[in-house]
Amino acid sequence: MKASAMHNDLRETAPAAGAARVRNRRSAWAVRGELPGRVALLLAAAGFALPFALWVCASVFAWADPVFLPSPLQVVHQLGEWYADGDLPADVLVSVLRVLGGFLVSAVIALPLGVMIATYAPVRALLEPLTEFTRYLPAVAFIPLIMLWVGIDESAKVAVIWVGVFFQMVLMIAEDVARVPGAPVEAARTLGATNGEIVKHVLIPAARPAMLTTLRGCMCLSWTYLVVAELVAANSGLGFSILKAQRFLQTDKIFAGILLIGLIGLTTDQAFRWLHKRCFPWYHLRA
Amino acid sequence: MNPKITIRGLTKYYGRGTARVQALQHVDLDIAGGEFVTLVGASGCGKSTLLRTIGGLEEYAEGSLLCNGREVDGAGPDRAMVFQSYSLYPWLSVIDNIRFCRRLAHHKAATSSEVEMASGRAEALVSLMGLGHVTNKYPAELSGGMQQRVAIARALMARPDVLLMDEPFGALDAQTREVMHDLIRHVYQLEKTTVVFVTHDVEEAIYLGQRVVVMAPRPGRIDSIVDVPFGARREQDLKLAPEFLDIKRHILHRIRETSGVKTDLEQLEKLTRTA
Repeated sequence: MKASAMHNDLRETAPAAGAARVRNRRSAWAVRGELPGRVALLLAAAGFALPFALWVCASVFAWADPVFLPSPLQVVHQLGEWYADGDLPADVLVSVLRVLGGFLVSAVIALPLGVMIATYAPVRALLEPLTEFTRYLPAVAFIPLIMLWVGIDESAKVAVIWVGVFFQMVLMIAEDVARVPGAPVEAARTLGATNGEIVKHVLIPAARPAMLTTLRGCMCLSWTYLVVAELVAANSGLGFSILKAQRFLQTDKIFAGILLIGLIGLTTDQAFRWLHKRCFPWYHLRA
Repeated sequence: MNPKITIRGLTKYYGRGTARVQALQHVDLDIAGGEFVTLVGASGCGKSTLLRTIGGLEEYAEGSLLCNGREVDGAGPDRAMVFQSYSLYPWLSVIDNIRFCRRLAHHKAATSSEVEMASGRAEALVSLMGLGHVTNKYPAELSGGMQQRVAIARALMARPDVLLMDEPFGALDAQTREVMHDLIRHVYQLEKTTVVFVTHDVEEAIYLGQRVVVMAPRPGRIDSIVDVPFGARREQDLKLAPEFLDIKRHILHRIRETSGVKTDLEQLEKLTRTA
């Protein structure tokens, strides 16, 4: 009784909760320090605003020739014209389809092949060194060959993106599956799982979050190969428009095209993030 | 005695050439059906290797290893294993982890009565292990002790002949470990499975086992086997009983003697003096 009464006294004399200073708090600049969510958002916005402001200044104060650096207004105007011509939606659509095509064809082959490489030693021994070699081959240099072998229609553009993305994807997927820890696999084995069952019920489900992250990275990679792909006898698309603008020194249109690709990329990336959280709630439990 | 596991002259090496290390040297051991045997010893004594070899997870070339009279050649559902940690399937809820073996062809129910029996067993294991309030949670939401309860229930769901446990409570705090000791004793008496349990904790080895197999390192071998004279019903206070402490002292001495690790007091004093 007495002890608890004393305890209460002490609590009354302690400073009010609002006035208490938090001790041992790490600063935002400490190694692995934390930032309040609002501040982080603000900084992210500033990260975009700062280069934009610089750009505005550069054009307002005429630091650079508008041929080299068009003003933001010029770019917006160009974008409006592009839309008014009726080409913009078609260009975006055709480019999205090409990127998606290259990405999906890569994924459809890379996912099973990556799982096989990570799971079965003979497949790994046979294909991994070859894939590691092939991924260094420059996709751009394949363009003449692709034109010879595949032709110059849509499949050629998809093929260029595929060459750039597929080999990286296979190795990354294999790595994702190889990283599944041993204990869950061995546990399944002692419960009577066959090899096929371990792949189906342990390796693939365990590697799914990492594989989706890999796909997200490879989607980004696919977009970087778009302009290269549209070097091949294209007459539409974002990459093609950038290349054509280059020929006429339309830097404002180049800017518009690049920004559009960036915007589409950012949106897809966010979509992947959302999908990841949505599909693998269990993965996001460990914070 | 009808041996469930018979081990004769089991010898195992790791590595090749000059890097070759003898992991197990001529191990002879019989484990009876329904027996609770614990393997204890200093690190490097081969206790985990022996357990994993019984589980079919480690190769062996010399000696013989029989389970139910059949030569052990690969892992099988008759010998389910519980690992130290992180062996649960993080994408499955607790109940789906426990029911994991039902996804495998070996345990697929053929008739509706089998399905019913299986779901009854899953529920029984949930309540036996005290997991009723977490059945729909993911493993990451559970404490280490609760995760190990799930791992044990998952292994028991397969109705193994032998339950192999590889330091299952090694990562748990002392209080949780005590609770788990009584739980595993209780489960063992209900299920009447054979248990082979590896630990580095001598007290745990004596409290749980009917026999304690003391192993020695370099090369890994059986040093001695100690019969534990206590009956099936055991309570925590047993750990303080004089007979218990006698056995504990004896085993600790054996491990200290065979592990070759000695604290050189003179050396230590010299070091502190110069510092």
